Amino acid sequence: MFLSWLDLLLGFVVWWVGLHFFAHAHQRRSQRLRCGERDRIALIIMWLSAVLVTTGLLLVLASLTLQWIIH
Amino acid sequence: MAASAPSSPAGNVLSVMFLTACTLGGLLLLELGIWYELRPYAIALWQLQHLPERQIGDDFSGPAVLHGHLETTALRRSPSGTPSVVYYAWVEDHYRSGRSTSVRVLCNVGEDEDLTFRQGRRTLPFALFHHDEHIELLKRDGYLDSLRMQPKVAIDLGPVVSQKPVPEEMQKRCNSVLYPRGTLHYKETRLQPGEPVTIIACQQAGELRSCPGTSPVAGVLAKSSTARLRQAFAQTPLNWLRGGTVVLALALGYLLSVLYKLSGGDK
Repeated sequence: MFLSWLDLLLGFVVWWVGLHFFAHAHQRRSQRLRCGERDRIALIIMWLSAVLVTTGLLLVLASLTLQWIIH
Repeated sequence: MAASAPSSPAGNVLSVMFLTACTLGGLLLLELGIWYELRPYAIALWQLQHLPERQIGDDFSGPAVLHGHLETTALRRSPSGTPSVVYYAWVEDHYRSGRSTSVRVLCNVGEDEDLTFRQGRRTLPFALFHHDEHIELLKRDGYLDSLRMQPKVAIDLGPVVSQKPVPEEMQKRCNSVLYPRGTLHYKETRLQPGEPVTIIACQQAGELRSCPGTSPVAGVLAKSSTARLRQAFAQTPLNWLRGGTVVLALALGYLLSVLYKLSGGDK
């Protein structure tokens, strides 16, 4: 299914790190917005977390695709 | 998850700058991996999967898959004494270097000349790596072993056989270089008479030869099927992607942690 199960494992770790920061930054931004404060850094963190999650997704998809091609 | 943030403002700025540079490096590695490795390899692997299957006597010049047997005129024996059509053997020295174990190859021998490809009653001279081509042997020592599709001819003669001590024949041939720092391991991989092979080659001047650079592969010689080689080919671009992902995850994870802490944490 995957070229190596290591890719899925690596993908999960990367997703977990990315989603962890995304969730924390999103929660903090919401709280600060409720108090009328702007939180630009949280927005940057959310974007960078999204990059990380996309990278993990890309690795897993590449592993799946290559395995599909060679079989 | 959270890293301890540097204390001084200058330290904070330097730390963020350094981690941003590492993140950019990771992104660059990923982009290189995708555009210069993953994309061309995916196309080449797709082409490899769809190469036509040919028989001896067919008129073809481009790369094609052929199933048959390899023969040689004189009987060969590998240094371990096994009758073989083609064999490669080498001696590894496994020695301690600090806390880890290092491996170096002390001696290589092999016989792969004077070969004929047979399909039923028909034969064709086999010269896949007899015109100054370089070869790469699939040893499958590591978990993520990779092999490049060009410009070397890829060879897979099945699992590598390892034995200790080094056979006498090999000791005689490598006498001048067998000075071990640690333990000597003899390894060989061979194709025995009558074993089926799958090759990918081009036909030129009445011979089976390696293919030009425009072909997805330079050439392939595999015992029974090319499955193990295809797996090794596919590992090449993915190793780039794995490397880039790890660098990016470490740098970005730490950068996000520092940014989060410096901007007030959960407060």
